[in-house]
Amino acid sequence: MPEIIFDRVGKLFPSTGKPGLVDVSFTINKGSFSSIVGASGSGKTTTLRIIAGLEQETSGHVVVPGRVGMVFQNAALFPWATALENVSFGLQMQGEKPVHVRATAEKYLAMLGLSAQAHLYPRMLSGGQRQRVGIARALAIEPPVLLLDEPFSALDEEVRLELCHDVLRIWQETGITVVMISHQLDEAVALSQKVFVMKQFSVAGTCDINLPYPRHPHAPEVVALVDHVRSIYRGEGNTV
Amino acid sequence: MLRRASRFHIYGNIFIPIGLVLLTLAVLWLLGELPQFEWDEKTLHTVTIAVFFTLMRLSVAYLCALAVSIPLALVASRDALAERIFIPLYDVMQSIPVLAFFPLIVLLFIKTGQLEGAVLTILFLSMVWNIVFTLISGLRAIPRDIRDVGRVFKAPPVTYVCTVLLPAALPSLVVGSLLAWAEGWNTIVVAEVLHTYIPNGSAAQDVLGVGDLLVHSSAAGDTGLFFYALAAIIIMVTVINFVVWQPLLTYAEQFKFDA
Repeated sequence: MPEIIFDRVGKLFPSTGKPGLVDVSFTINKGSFSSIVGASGSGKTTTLRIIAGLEQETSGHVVVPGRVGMVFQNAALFPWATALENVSFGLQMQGEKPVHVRATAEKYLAMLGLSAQAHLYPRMLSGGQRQRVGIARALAIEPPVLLLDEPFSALDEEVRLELCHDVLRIWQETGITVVMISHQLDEAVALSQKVFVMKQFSVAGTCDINLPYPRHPHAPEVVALVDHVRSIYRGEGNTV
Repeated sequence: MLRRASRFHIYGNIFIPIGLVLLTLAVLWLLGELPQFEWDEKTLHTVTIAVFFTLMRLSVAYLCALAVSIPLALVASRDALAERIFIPLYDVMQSIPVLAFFPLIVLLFIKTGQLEGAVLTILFLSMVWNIVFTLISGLRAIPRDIRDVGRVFKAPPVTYVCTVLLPAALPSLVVGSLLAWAEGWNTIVVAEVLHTYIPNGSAAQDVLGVGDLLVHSSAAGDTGLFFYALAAIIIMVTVINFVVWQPLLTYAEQFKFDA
């Protein structure tokens, strides 16, 4: 059952007159894990921002849920607020009662293994912990869709693998629809059920990945799919 | 290194005001005008009242400047048209001394007999631009992701301003306020001596304050009162710096984003 529908969507930035998206069509099913990959300036961030409601399409038709959770590239935590207060932010904006806000924020911090850090400020946390707080904040409003904007790009390899594992676990436990933007093809293939490859403001191809989890990045099937996605990326391949 | 700089800052805050008082005494001694340090209750009473009025004036003007600056900066920081108007205006306002407008403002207020209003207006004008333009640059420096957090979680407009934009711009707001008060202190000495701007004006038309005391005691050759008034200004600036600005600057540090 589709959760997100893009039907011939176009985006023109009025300030520059340059296109952000041209004729983009795809559907993302409820409870699925999808990734959007592509070079810088290919339109993947614009796509994610339209799903999040941060940008408005200029043509075509978009169906997205009214409420989404979003994890930003550099966590985007408020430096003046503790981890608990950061996670509470979305709930407070929804007008939830303080008791419920606190209980829910603590629940999601615990889910991300950050109960002991609840009263620490972002500057006291490591990069990985900050990103976990960002994920907890996005999940706390219990949205139907979780958007991840290159969430692991600023992290070192070990922390990146840990967080990939956490995101996969949360997706499997909650059944939430996940849409992730990534520069890393191996990361997209290891996590996703479907990869959209964007090029010059359009979807150049898609790749369905029907491999069981957990997926080892060096497993031959994974490597073969990464090569395939790369060939679409370079304009040599097409949809699988 | 940081601790050494901080210690230097604290010592500076203590010794520079003491140094200024001693320098004033030295100059008065050189001029042969060293005041008699007798316990004079009347002088002390006059200076205390003057300090109170000056502080009230500066506080009222600052609060008005703050109330105007915040909405102005919020509009100017996000609206391209407002920006096109504000930036040239800033260039003009920076190059024209605010006191040049003072005679005109005084003449306007004479008509209504509200001379206190003239002082507050000139103080307001001297303060407001410092806050507006420091705040605009602070608001424009907020990372896009931080703004997006408020929008993704659908924060209502007023809540968005109060919980995201203003806290994110707080360091700039504090610096702007500090600059505004510094400008206010500069202006007060002139602003409280209104009669010089009124045709056929007399000293009776001046408003009581430390600036007024400084000018009148100096003109009357009352070096004792002059010294007390000058010392009062130095003490007030130092105490406000210690009690208000230093704690606020330290507090605002935790609102800064990582570079």
